[in-house]
Amino acid sequence: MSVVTEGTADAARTAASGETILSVNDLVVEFPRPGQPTDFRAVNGVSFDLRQGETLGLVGESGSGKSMTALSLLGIVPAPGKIIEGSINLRDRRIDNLPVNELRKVRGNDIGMVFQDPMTGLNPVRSIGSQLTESVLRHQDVSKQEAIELAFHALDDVGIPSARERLEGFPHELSGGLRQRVMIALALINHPEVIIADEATTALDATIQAQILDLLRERLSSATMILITHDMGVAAEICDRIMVMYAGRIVETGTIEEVLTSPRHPYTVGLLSAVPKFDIRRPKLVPIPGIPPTAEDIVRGCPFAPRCRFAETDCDQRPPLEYAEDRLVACWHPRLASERKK
Amino acid sequence: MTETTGATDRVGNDEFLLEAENLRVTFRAPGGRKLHAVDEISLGVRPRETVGLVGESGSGKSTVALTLMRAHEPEGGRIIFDGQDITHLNYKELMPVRRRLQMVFQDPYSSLDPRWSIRRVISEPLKAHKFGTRQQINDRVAELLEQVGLPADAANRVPSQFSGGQRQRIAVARSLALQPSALIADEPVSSLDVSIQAQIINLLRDLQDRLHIALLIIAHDLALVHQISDRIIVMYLGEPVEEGPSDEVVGRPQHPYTVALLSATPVPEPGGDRKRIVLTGDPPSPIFRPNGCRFHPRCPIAQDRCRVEKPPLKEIGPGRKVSCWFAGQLEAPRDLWALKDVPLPPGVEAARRPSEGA
Repeated sequence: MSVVTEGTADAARTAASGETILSVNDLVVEFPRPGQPTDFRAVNGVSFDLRQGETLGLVGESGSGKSMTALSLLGIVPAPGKIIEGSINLRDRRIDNLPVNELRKVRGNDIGMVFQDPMTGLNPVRSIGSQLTESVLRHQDVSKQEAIELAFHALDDVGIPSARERLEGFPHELSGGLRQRVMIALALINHPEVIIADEATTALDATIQAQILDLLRERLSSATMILITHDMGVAAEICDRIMVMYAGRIVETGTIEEVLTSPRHPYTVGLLSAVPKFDIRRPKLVPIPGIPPTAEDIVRGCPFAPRCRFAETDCDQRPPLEYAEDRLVACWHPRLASERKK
Repeated sequence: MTETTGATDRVGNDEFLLEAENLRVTFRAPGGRKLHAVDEISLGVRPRETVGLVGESGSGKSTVALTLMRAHEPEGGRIIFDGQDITHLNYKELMPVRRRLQMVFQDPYSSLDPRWSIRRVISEPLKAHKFGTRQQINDRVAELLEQVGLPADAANRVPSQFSGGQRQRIAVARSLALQPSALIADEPVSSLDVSIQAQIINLLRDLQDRLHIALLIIAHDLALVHQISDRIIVMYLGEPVEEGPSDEVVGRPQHPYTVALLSATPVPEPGGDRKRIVLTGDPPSPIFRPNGCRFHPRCPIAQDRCRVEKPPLKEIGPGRKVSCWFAGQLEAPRDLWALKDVPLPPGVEAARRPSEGA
C-alpha cells in the first residue's frame, strides 16, 4: 500500500522552513461498497507534512477525497467510512487513534475547522454568543464573564460590526458573509495550532468571497492552515503550497507558483486549461474529457489514465508520487519543463 | 438604428430576437412591502448572438430569465420575441413562442424527472408540440443525443445513471428538441465540477455556431461569461449598471461595481502584486433599497451626489452603457489580465473624464 514515498516530506521542506506541525502518513479511508468485493477508498494513501505558518491548499474536484482527508484529521469521517491505514501526528502526538474524549480536546483546541456552509456549522437555535462561549469554557480555564469578553473580541477581530450586540443574535439574522465570519471566529477562538478551512468561501458571492479571502490572508497570515477548495483561483489567492488530489490520491504537490506556471501532472494541466481566464483572445477552453471515477468504479493503475491525453500502456500500473525534476508528481509521463521546450 | 420593415405589426427593435423593455418585477414581501427584484432592465439578444447577464445572488438575474420565459408576471415593461409583444399572451398563445424560446436550468439534478427515461425527458417537448409519429420522435431523440455527445443507448436509461455533466447535456438536448431560435441558460455550469464546466461551455458554443441560436447566459462568474459572450450586462440589486461588448466591459470597466467584481474574481495565475478592490459590507436588501445610487453604500468612490441622486443608465459609446456619476474613475487592477491592448473606444474615452457638473 505504501507506494507513496517519504519524498513528500522532503518536498514539503523546500517550500518553507517552519517546523512540522501536522504529519499525515499513508492515510487510507475506506467506505464499504455493498455487493462488491472491495471497499471504496475515498482517501488512498495520502501523505503530507504541514509546517508552522504555511497555508497548504488541498485542491480537487468532488469525490477527489480532499474533504475526507480533512475530516480524518479531526476524527470525524462519517460512518460507515473509517480510517483503515496510516497515521496522523500532531507534533509528536498520534491523533488518529485517540479515544473520543481526547479527540474532543484536539478539536477546537489544537485544530479549528471552518466548514463550507455556516448554516450547518452553527447551531440555528442558539445565540452566537452562547456558541462561542461554550467553546471557550470547554477549552480554556476562564470564568463565564471572561469567556463572554473573549467571544466579543473574537467577533470583533474578524470584522463583525457591532460585535457586542451580535453576541445576542442568532445565525439566521446574519448574511452569508457575516455567518462565515462567525464560523472563522469560532474556529480561532481557542487559538488552535492548525486551522482547516473546507470550501470556506465556495457558497459566497464573488465580492463577499474576496472579503473572506482578505480576512483569512490578513488575520491568518502567520497561522498554519489547510485550505480545501475546488477552485484553483482561490488557492492561488492565499496558499503557499498546494496539493492536487484526484480519486483519493495526491497527484501533484508544489509551491503555488510552481504548480500554476508549470504544472507537471496531466490532470493539473487539464484543470488549469479548463478554467476561463480573462484573456481577450478568448482561447477555447480545453475540457478534460470523460468523468472522474465514481465510488462504484474499481480503479486499477493510474486513476486519471482513462481521461489522459498522454496515457500509455504502462499507465495500468499505479504511478508512485515521485520527483519529476523539482516536483512531486504521481505520473509515469509527467510534463517536464525540459520536454516542453522541444 | 431601427429600420422600418414591411411588417407593420412588428414591435420593438428589429435587430433583436429576444428583447426586454424596461422590465420591472416585484414580489410581495412580508409586511406588505415590495421586493424590487428587477427594476427597469432593458436588454436585447440578436440572432446568433450570446449575451451574458452577470450579477451576484439577489441581483435579479434569474428573475429576468424566468420573467422572459413568462414564469413570473412583470409589473411593468414589455417582453418582445421576434417582433411580437409576448408580455400578456395566455398559455395557448404562448405555445408557438415556447417552441422557439427554450431554457436550460442550473441544476440538472432537479430539472430532470428521476423516474423518467431519457427518451421520455427529451421527447416531452416534442410530444407537447405534436412533433410527429413515434418513429419520428425516436429518430429526433437519437439525433439530439448525438448532438450533445451522448451515446444513443442513453435514451433507455434514467437520470440517476448519469453524472452531473451528462445530465446537463441531457437538459441541453431537451432544450434543443424543438429547434428553438433562442435559448436562455441560467447558471448552466455552476453546479458542475471545473473539469466538466468547460465541456458544457464548449458544447453550448459549438451548438450555437452550428444552429445559429440566440443565447442569453446568466451567471455569476464574470470570467466565464466573458469567455462565451459577445456582450455583457452587469446587474446590481435588480438594475443594470454596466453594459457593452465583452472585451470592453472586462478590459475597460467603467462602473465601480464591475471593477470590484473583476478584482474579486479569483484567477489561477501567480499573484504578483495584485491590486484588489474589496467592497465592504453586503449587498443591501431589495426590500429596503438605498436612495440615490443603489451601489453607493459599498462604493469606494461614492460622493454626496451619489447618496441623493440616482445615476441614469447613460450611453457612453456604441452599445456601451453605464449608470454611474463617476464612471471610469475607479482604476481597474488591469495588470492582472491580458487585456492591456484593448483599444479605448471614443465614447469610453469621453466617459473617463469627470462628467459635467460632477
